[in-house]
Amino acid sequence: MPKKRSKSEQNDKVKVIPEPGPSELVRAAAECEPAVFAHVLANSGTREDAEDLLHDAVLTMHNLAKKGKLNLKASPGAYLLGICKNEWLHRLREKKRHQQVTNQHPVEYKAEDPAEAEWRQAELHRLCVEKLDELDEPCRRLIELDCQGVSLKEIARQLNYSYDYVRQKKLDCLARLMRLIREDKRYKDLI
Amino acid sequence: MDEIQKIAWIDCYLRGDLEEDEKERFEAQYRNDPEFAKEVDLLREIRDVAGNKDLLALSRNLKSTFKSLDTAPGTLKPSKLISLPLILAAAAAITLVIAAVYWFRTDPGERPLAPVADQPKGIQHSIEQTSPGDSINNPGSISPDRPIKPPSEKNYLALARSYYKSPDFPADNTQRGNVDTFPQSVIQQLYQLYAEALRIQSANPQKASETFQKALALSTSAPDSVSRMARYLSAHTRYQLGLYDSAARDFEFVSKVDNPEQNKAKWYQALCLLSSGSEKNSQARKLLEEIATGPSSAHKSAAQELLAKIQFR
Repeated sequence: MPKKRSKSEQNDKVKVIPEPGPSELVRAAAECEPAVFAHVLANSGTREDAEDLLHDAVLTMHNLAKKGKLNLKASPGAYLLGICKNEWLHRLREKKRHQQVTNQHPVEYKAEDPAEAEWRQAELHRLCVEKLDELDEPCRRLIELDCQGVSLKEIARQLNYSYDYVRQKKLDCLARLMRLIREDKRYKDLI
Repeated sequence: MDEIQKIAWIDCYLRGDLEEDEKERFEAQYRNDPEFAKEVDLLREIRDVAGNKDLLALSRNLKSTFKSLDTAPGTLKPSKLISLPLILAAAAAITLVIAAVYWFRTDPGERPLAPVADQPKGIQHSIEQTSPGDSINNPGSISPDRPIKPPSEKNYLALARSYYKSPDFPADNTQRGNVDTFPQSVIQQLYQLYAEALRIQSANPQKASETFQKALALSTSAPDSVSRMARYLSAHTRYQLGLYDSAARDFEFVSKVDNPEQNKAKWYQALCLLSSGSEKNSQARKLLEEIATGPSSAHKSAAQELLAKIQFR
């Protein structure tokens, strides 16, 4: 009679799937896009909803991988598809709940689930990138370079501005970016 | 404290540049003022996102992937459950279009506008100058009998395409002294796919389009070490597929970094903007003016010529 493997022996035999890098994530997103879109469109969603969902899913995976919390048991594409399907149904339920119940107790629905917090953060990240890309190029570059640790002096040299001008422009650009984000109705749902 | 001063203060705190007493004052305000706390949290998120090159690249790559999958010909689209009201609405829209075309056909002075923008639709019959790329984008879709309105003054798609000349990418990238290396080099694969698509473009536009699609999928998955060249190739591939907006973005990327294709990328970016639609014409004009008045380059005289044509059309 064959010897029954212990659980630890079984776990040793499970194939370890390496954490996906950014390019693998993009490839996985492209692969599972038709399936995700079909699921969302078949469940009261639009193409835009599907794109946003998949985008958030990829960013969520990326963030989890960075924190070492990603535990892949399937290919990145299959994992993406799974979490997209779950998250879409969750979003539908939330939408329905908000429609049925007035905002008497908004705190009651605040996300406490850590997985949901990851999703919310991914959505906020996506919103930030979207609004960053709406800025004109000098502003966008200035903010990115500054946030990536480049000194203002070096930024002034790269952008061919004076140091004082760059210092003031950075604040103006940040103010504009924050205003763009705050004015987006999605932001209110995320904070 | 006005908005700018507040942001400066928050920025200093997040960078760790505040003195101890100032830091305590800041944190007290953060605890006691929820609106102020939201501002701080927002700026913190912005700094985290804008400072994270991987995340920025990932997010932008995703957007362009979705766009290319959305607009490229021959892409498999997910099947949709179409509801009856939607079918009726679509039928009504089609009826209106047919009626409009019929009405235009009977009036010699009126013709429907040819479509422009980032959709791969050809406008072969009203424009004398066509390029091979148009036939890939919409093979056989415009019948000789369908009347096509001549392009409006601001439609420069065909003019731009007449100036486009695909670079002759070598099959072996080592000849260019390219420092990008990768097992079975990604760049080499891209060159091969691109060259193959160009070669069969006239004879088999559908197959060429599929090959361009493969090149595009490969180029968007290229690792960072080859991204510059991959972006340049990806830009040309997108142009060939009629994806002018995303091609312009890729050319812009290449034009901003120091590399052998930098100057050419600017020229191609201008052509893409010109092809994108009237709303991008002023940007295209600005770029062409920079090339036309700048130092000597391969495309300087072409830029001058094109500028003159745009101004007088």
